[in-house]
Amino acid sequence: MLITLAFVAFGAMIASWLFVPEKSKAATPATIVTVPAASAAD
Amino acid sequence: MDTGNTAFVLISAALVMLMTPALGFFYGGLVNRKNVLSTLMHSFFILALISVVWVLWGYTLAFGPDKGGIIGGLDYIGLRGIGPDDIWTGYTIPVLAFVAFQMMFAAITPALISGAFAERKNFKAFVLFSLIWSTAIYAPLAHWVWGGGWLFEYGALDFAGGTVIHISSGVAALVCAVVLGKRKTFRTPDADPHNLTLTVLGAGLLWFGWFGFNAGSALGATGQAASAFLVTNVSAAAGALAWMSISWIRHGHPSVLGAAAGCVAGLVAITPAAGFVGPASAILIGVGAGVFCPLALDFVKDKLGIDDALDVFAVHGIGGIWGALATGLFADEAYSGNTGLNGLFFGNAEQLWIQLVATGAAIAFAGAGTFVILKVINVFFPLRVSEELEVLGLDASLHGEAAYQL
Repeated sequence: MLITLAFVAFGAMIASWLFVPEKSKAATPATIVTVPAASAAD
Repeated sequence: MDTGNTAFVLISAALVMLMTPALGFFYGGLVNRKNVLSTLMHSFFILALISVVWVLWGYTLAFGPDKGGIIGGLDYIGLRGIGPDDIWTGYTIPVLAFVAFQMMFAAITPALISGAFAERKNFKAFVLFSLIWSTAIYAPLAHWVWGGGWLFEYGALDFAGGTVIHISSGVAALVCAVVLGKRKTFRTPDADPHNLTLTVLGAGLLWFGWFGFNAGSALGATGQAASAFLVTNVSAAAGALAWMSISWIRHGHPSVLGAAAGCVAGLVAITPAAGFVGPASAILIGVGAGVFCPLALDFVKDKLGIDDALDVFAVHGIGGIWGALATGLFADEAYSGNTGLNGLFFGNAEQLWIQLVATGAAIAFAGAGTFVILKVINVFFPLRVSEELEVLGLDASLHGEAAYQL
């Protein structure tokens, strides 16, 4: 039973990866999350 | 159960685990800065993906009860019926320690291939390819050689994966490179490594992890493990020195990348031989790898014009083939402790022939199988990203992230 559930969970993840819609256009630099640079004082 | 042997194998498994992210660093330094994360992700993602695959169906296909010498049965699907007190046949370690150790081998093999299609492969196609390849190519090959399959019965020697891991991944990489075609940047400055410090870091961690890979394959803290540990280091060193020598003679510089790639080539070549040869042979095996692999690299890229982006075939394919054949030349029963396990130079020419057969079988199976898998996947998903995304870089276009904020 647990093995079957593990198969189902893994299969669901794979299906979600394969069928998630592609972005209609390429990501732009503005969509990239940026992190403030650490200062020397840090 | 022997607790010392068990601890040794578990630590070895942890060392081998480190090799897959290390491979990501090795490859990541070799690509353009806009594709670093996607290259790291190939290795990191595969480590996670194959860890689950191995538990659910990979292990039983490779090491389940033999079915006609070709594949393991489904008796251990989901590791059903394997408990912590079960002992691996012929050894003194738990079966679960062996499962964990072999899991790391299964994970790194498709990660090795990823260097061939770096900077241009569609991630969905990559997911499917890794899943199918590890099931349809890796698991049967592991069964043939280690799981009681036909090459095992035939007498093929592969101590830690020269045939199962390196020849298969190297040949698969060549097929991937041919089928996917060249990068837009092939033979331009944009194809040059963006950060060799990452690559040298990766090579160093690979060298470290390889002690687990090879010595751990003795499946116990034995004299054979000590010998495998020593020859692993010797061959890596000889490979680094030889490739650096080639680059110095041919190009006028003692190349850092040459030394890093050379140590990996030496490690690849000693892998099938590690438990069967002595230290002097290991020097010759490492030197051979450090000479043959860069020559193969130039042949593939310059003469054939194939964009095997990070030279997987030259290093792992040619290094693996050389190692498999060298095992048939240099095997010495004194180091394996098995009477009669000798190569040509120790009076047993037949072993070289057996190694040739095993090598040919692995090349044919991995080559043809990889081609079919890629063609089938291409029916459902494009293997490559669009030209627009490739120019933008896969880090931004596929992952929405950037490696550097400089």
